Amino acid sequence: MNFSKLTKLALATTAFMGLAMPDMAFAGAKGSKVILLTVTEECEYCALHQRAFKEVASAAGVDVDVKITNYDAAEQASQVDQAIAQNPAAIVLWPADASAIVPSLRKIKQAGIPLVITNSKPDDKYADYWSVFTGPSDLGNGQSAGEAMIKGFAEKKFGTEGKIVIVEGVPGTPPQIARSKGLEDVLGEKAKGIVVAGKQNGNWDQTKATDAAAALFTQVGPDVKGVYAQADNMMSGVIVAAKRAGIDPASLVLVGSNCSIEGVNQIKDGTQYATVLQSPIDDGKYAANAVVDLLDGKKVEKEIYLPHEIITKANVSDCDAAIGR
Amino acid sequence: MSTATLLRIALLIALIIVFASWNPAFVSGRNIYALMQSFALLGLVALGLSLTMIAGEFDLSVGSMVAVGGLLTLVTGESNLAYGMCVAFAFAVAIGAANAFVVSRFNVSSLVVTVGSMMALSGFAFWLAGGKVISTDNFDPGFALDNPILTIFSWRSLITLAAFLLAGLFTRHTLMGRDIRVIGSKRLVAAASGAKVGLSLFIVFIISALCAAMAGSLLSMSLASAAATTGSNLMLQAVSAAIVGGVALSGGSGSPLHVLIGSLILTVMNNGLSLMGMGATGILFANGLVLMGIVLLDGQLGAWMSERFAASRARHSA
Repeated sequence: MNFSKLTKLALATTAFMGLAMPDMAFAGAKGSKVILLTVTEECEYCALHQRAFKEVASAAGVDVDVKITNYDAAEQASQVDQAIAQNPAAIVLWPADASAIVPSLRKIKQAGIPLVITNSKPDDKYADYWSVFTGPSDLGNGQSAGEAMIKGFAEKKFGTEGKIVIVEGVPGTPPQIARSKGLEDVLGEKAKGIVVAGKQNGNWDQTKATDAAAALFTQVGPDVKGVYAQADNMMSGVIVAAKRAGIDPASLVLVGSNCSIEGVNQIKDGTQYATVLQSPIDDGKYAANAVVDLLDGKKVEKEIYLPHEIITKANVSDCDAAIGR
Repeated sequence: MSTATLLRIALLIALIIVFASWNPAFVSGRNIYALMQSFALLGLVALGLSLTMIAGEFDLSVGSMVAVGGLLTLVTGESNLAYGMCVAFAFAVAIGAANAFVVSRFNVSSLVVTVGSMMALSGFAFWLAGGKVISTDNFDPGFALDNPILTIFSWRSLITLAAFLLAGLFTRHTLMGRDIRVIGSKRLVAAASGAKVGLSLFIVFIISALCAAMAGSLLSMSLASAAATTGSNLMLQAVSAAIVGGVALSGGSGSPLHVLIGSLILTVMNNGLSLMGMGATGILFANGLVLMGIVLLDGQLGAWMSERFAASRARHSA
């Protein structure tokens, strides 16, 4: 290659880069293609998340392509392969399994595609693989539950001392661990007199939670002043168990989580004291906003958590709005 | 090659053409790689299961075996995955042999026996996992297995293809392979004419369990994790792949080549529909339609076409 050819090539490359570079750096959300890989069409939370995501992303002019798996990690891995093949401007991913997704995250990173993880965060040690995480914080959820418990003790004139019990989700799962930790942290810091006197697994299941609560009421006895159930459906089981044990549920400080329909109804009729709001609509919106900002070249925080508002009878309408009821 | 097989190959090619013209990205190297990755999992399970079907039996436990295979690999192979794989394979051989023993010794329907082993294996998987997802930080074996080879393959898909080749050679060119086919269609006649019925059953059930365990083991390395629920819908997909490929539920007919075509038809269809933006439930629906269509085609159109061929041949020879 002679000198003039080389110069021409260099000039052409520079010109091309000059045109292409700003275009690449500020590709812009409008008209970009984004692939959302999500988990199921059958759960209400997931459906609301997906709808909210699409609404916000479409309003920003993003072309959204959705791939859904029914919590099948192997299927999601092949959907990731396919998504990479389509070379989108960005990928938004709700991991079907926060461990099994890690090798796929590395593939997305290697393909140079910006990635927003939504709802379930894989272990932080792999944080290099994603650009942004948006979603709920289980620790924050538990902390709000702790605040609600203290507030409930004050309102029911129990003061700052008494025994409570916890009905937990499936043992070993991140929400089970982090929600209990959040609650215990807050109690340890602000209300040392409120003591966790027992814990049982309700496995996110109402029937199992009924048995778990019955065992706790027998074990701790009539001293129980409050119950924290890590999900509202499990709280329904706690209420059944309390009634069977001859305890009036309305006399206890019952704190649930998730703002699900059972919880809302129980709060409205006065049996449950509070729940912690985790809005599927916000969950979807946060992910959409993050990917739009990312494509528009704006600076985006690495972790964006949903607020975990405490819901009692006074503001239960917030719950309805957040769930889109 | 029979008319039915040719029809299936035509269907596969037609699907590829339709999807490629709909979206050219379908035939891109990376998408074919993605497709082959799905095939690597489904094909291996379908291959093992179909051998039991060809021998006139059925192995419902393959789905749970995938989960157990994956979990055993990670749980026992914490420091050495190769050791974990060996444990998983040895366990699969034992389960396959146990299934075959009960079926042949006590003359119980394999449907009943393997429903039992399916539930037992599922329970064992939940016990192994202890209510959690077992994961490992050792990603290297998975990356090595999944790294693209010649753009569209990976070791995982090449292993599955090699398994098809071996099974094809085994059923076509060995006496045992012939026995397996014969006992599928006419067991009593086969036994009277000296076919080794018992041994054949042991071989097919062991291969079936081994293929499922291998699929689970490779998958767990690929995902660097394993769960008790993995593979829960794989058994039905594998049965579909075998039937779509032309393996009869009544036994005696079909070959690894047919299962290969059946698995590819399902994977191509699922990949193409997903590329078109269809959701999981829509794809499941489409799978059902194709399965029913193929079964009807076998009964009606297949017979009609065979008649036409026979008639035209008769005319020519007259």
